[in-house]
Amino acid sequence: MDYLNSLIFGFSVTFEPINFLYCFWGVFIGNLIGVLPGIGPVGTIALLLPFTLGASPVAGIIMLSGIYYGAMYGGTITSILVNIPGEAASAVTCLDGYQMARQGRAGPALGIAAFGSFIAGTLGVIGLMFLAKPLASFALRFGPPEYFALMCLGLTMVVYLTQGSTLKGLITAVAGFIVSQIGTDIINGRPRFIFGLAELRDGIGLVPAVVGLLGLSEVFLNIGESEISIYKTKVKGLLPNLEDWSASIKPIFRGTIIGFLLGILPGGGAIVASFASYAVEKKVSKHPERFGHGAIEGVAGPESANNSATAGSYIPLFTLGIPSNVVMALLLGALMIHGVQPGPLLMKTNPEIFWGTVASMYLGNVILLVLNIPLIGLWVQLLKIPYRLLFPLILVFMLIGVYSVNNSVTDLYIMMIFGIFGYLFKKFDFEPAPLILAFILGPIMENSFRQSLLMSGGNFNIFFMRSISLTCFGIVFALLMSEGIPSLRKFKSKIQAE
Amino acid sequence: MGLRERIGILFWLLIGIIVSLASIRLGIGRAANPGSGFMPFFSGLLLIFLSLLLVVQEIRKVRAKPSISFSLNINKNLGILVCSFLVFIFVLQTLGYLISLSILLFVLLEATAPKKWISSLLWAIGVSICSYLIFSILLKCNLPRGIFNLG
Repeated sequence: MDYLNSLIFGFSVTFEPINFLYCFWGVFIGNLIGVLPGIGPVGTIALLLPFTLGASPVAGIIMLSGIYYGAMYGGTITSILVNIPGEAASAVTCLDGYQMARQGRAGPALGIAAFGSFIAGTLGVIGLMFLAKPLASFALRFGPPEYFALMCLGLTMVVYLTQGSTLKGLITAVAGFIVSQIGTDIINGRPRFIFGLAELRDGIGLVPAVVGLLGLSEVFLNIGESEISIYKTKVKGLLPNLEDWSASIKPIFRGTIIGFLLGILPGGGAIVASFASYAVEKKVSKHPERFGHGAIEGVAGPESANNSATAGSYIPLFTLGIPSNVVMALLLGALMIHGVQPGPLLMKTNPEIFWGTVASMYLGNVILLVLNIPLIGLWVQLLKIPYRLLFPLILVFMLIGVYSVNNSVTDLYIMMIFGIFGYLFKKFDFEPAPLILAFILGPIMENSFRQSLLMSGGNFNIFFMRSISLTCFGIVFALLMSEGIPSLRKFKSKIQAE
Repeated sequence: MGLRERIGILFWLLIGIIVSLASIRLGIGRAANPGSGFMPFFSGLLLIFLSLLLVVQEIRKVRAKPSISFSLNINKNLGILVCSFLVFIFVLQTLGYLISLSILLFVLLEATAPKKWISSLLWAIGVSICSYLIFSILLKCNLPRGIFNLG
């Protein structure tokens, strides 16, 4: 009954006209961005983050969330029709979705992806609703050492699962941590690394750094790239038939469970979930040889998994205040700019944010289903927009977005510098994701670390005398050591290559 | 070890050294009472350590598989984009949003996808005016108006 009342309260928040509008725009833009290859959900959230700052925290978070799960839906369309994933979590859908399109079954592929995403997204939100409360109560036992250890674990997991070298991931994470220390020291008020610039006293802004590193660097990379070509097929019969449903229903539910559980784990999320679901479906199938040649289970499972993972990844953010991936780190950043601190007390101090977001996700999933089925023709047309016309629009968004936060030209310079670094990172095979996560978590980590040392009178044993922090550091140690074991390293490379 | 790896390692090593040295000036303090430079100092040291580990990793890799030659392969349009962007930021307050953005977009369109100059100009001005109407008039963003008091 308590849950029901809270959910009704959440819907009352979501159905406020301004919140409803933000929800609609969020899912619409997310869907649109998911369709357009080259700009992923992370870049879009970074790009649109400044525009949500003028709104209330709940409206802002509803819109950013809408972009996230909207992009998951939209990414499927390009995977199926163009064989280019709109975003990374839909990459695995290319394998069977594109083959279905080539066999003239683009409609059922798109249809089952939309329905699967809807079912998984809705079930994921139900899971979020029921799991968040007990986990938040448990998290109340956490002190600064536990928080520090948990953040180290989250960061290590992200680094470990990052494409490419773990060592390079660790380097960018440390760099992000150093960047987060620019500005005034929170404990004794002394300025650090500001080079005499008054604008840096408050530190490097989240918005210019993230927009530069993730958004502008993408423009730098894509400028002058050749245009994509669309596989010419008629999209008809979007409603899957009974045979399609009977083949897909089990993969949808399996994908939902896999995605939700992997979404909760630090470092997990939609990408890992979709690949794991595909692997499971292939394993349990009586005809694994059909996979890669247009098996509808290869679309239904991963598409469901990436949507339920989206809901699952909110759990550590809302209950512990710790983001499990870069998108959640951006949401954490947005909440912190609004003066809201996610964590175990969020449901008590800001129930409108938690329950409003949960309810908006139910609503957003319905909006997406309604949008996707009739608008697929329009999305296909959008794919034909040449990048040379698209990139000026993206640039304008970034410029206005970054400038309007503080009306500061310095922020534009910061965005430019981070854009160049983001570009060079990609050229030198350094992943920017750990840097962003460490940059956002940096101040909280430093605070927890210094508080722990103050609590223990400078004794580092405090991190190893408490069971939760000891367990976290144990996992961190095991993960880092596993890099030294050749067979485990080969196994990781194999997963990444797949 | 290839040129790319050498540049990367040198860069991080240098950053680590600079951060560590600058942190000493900030005051490291003691474990019981950490100073402002405490975390940056150890972060810098960690960065140096990880860069050195990367050296070892790369040397091992080279032994196993000889290095492949490296070219940054920077797109020629990138230089134009970066320079015009810097000029845009520099003149934004003086010329105002509308004029600066129109010039920036025109230059970029001409450089990256040369078509008839008039179509690039119209697209650049069109995007600038539309974005001004949406963001400044509709959404009340405070965009610089410049010396001509335009946009």
